[in-house]
Amino acid sequence: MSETPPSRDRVGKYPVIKLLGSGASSEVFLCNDPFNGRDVAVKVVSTELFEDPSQGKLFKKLFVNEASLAGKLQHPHIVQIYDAVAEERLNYIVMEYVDGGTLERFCTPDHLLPIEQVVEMTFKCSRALEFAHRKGITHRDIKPANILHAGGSDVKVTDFGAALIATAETTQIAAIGSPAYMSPQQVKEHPLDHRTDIYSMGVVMYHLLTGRLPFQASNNFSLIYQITNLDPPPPVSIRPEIPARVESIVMRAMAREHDDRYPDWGAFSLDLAEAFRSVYYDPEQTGFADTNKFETLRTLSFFENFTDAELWEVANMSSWRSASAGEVLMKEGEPGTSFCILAAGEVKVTKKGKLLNLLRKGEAFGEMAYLAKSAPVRVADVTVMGDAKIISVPTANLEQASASCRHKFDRAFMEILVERLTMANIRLSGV
Amino acid sequence: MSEPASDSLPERIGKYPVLRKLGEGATSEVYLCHDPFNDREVAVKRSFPEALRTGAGSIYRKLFLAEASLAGKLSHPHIVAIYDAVVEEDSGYIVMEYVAGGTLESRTAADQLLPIDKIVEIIFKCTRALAYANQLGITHRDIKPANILLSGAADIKISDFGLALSTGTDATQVTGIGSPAYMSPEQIREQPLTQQTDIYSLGVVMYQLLTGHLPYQASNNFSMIYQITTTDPAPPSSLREGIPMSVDRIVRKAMQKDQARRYQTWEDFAKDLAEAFRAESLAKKTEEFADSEKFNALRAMAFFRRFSDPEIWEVVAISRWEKVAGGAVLMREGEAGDYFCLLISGEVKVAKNKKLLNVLGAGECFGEMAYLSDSAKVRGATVSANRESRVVRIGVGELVNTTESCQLKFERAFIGILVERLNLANTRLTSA
Repeated sequence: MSETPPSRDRVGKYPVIKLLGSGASSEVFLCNDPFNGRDVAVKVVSTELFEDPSQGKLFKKLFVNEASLAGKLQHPHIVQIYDAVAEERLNYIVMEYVDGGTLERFCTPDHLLPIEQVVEMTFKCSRALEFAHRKGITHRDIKPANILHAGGSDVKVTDFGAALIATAETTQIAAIGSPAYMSPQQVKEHPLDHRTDIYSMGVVMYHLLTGRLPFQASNNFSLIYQITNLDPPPPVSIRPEIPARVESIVMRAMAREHDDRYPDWGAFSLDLAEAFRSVYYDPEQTGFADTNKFETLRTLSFFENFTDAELWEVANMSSWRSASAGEVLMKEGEPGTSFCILAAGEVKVTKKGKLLNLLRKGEAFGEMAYLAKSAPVRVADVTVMGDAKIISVPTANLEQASASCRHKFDRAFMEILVERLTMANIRLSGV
Repeated sequence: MSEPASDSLPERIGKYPVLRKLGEGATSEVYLCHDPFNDREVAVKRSFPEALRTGAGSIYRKLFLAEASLAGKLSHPHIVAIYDAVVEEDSGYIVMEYVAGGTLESRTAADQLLPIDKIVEIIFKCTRALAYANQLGITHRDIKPANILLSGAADIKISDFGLALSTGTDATQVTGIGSPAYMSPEQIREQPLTQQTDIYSLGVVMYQLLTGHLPYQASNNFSMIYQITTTDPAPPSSLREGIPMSVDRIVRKAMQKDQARRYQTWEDFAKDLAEAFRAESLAKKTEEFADSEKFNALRAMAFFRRFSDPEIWEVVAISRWEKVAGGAVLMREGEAGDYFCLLISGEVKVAKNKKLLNVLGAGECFGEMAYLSDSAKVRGATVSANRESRVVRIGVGELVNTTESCQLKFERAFIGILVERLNLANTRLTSA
């Protein structure tokens, strides 16, 4: 960052609104996309690799290919890539703009986030990175500067696909850049897979929890030595209120040897969710954390064909609450503008006091509000039998959801309707 | 369009590497380019309008982008998609879907004319696409054979939507140096324009496709303008044998100088085309169903009420149509089946173990369990035709390849049917 970045009034076709940030070999601008009428973040990359007389063209091609591949990642916790361009003197990636800064600002001791929020954020990152991993993409440059803060505990991982360039470059500038978030395998230049990202995520979590990097060193040689040989000081020695379960997660993610580290994102995120539940979930409280919602949705049969991205949509569009025995959830004749799915407990469906049905965990009720074409009115009463957890989805919210998410709801309801119709027909023919 | 010299080929336009030149006009050029990020071929139309070099440059830039951006919202199988638009210092370019088949221009030469039924089909598709655009508030204003691309046998894609304003002056210059041949009288008089100007222009295109002649022949533009605003053209049937009266009438009505006597809406125009097709000998020559017939049949069914026009066209593209005689077996109990059917006309009966379960009429569906339930891939009953019937088959495998919005509409339609059946069953249960 020795020279001041050149002022630009546009990058390619995108008029510049302002400079968002700059690094050793890149600048990020807030721009306007006139054709699509939206704000975008444009990252201009200038690396010596592109200038190389023999390899430059190849690197440019790889740059666009990687961005194109990463552009196929559509997930609420991954920054969307819209375009990538490699020109004679200008190379840039056009991305979704997130107005909230990066996680870097929560990495100092005086700006630490509450522990449960760190667990939530790490959980979301781990699910997003598993999603990428299943599409064959390893990030390789996970660090707080690459995780954007989108309000509350919402995060978006960025700079996927910059991976190739980043690693090539990082190796070249290792003398000035910091390997602080690199896994031992990355430092040793071993072949890498998703487990390098798990390690780096562990370092990010450590940093967010304690406000310190796990290894302190005055030079990179010392840092590399520590990464490959030493255990970091336990987080609890720095921030005493860190629960033992959370600490053991950080330590396992940061294990030097593959055999001791989480083998996959699934195991990592499961531990995060369980730690959250056991330490922070308070059944007396009406609030449900995102981690909790997501993990609950995953266990319900209704949602078994939903992808992670779709489950997050459901978590965001629904409202959750606990209800105790005897509470009436729906009344016959009342207008219905939402339907419910039972996350726990049991409810009964009655009409004029006559029992129609008993519903258990994972079953839906009040869905005619969504399914019927005409103005929906409840046709039965629904009452809680044993303490229950209710997920309520307003139909208006569902209409706004992505096509793929609505598609999954439709398929799930269709399955239910077919089942009921079959039952009804059996009863009819039996009479 | 002259054959371009290779030395003038730019290496790239904006971010798009140029593969070759597709055509050029007085102030615009169209190139075949590659889009590296999306890895697809695109057509890039670059224009150098005078307006960019004058004082009006900045207003022009805004209009150019606004029009292209609006046209970019048109998503229809018979409209060329616009992906991007950029205005630079002295030029602007629009990035579009690339269609490989050439334009309708080649089919206006007297020795290259298309069969009359194909022309009616093509014009029908144009009217429906332009109706869709009109619903979104977009008038084309430069309808001519050079702006209608051919893709496949009778499939077309209308191009250069909404670019009338930004590239219109140029485009008019291309066809015979400023020929007003396709302009409506009100366009020539520079009156406010509605969808009826496009209706007139499409009438001229239809005339030319049918006969190989423009309706008005003139040695200069003043003569042409005079004729457009005052004289009536010779009926198409006087220039080509076999043109039915009904087709003559449609062309005449589309080309009426007086807007009050011209087709008021695209829907009226489309309806007459479809009826001409049905009524005349056009359709009877073949056992095949024409696309217009398929479209109209589906459009009229309650099942497809919530489908948009583009979605209906998707269904046309993936469905198989057949006419079956009375007694024909359409599905057999116990056989595997991965498609469902909709009855367009006629009557079928559903039987299980030779016991009659149901009789279905036009508009009803059968075999839908193949779609509704992942586990039910074997037919639960036998379906046979009671009399001559027209049946559409839709493969579950093909349905997956349609757009998500089309699939959603199918789901909603079936959910509606299931809810109805369930209500009926419950009523019978409680009253029993």
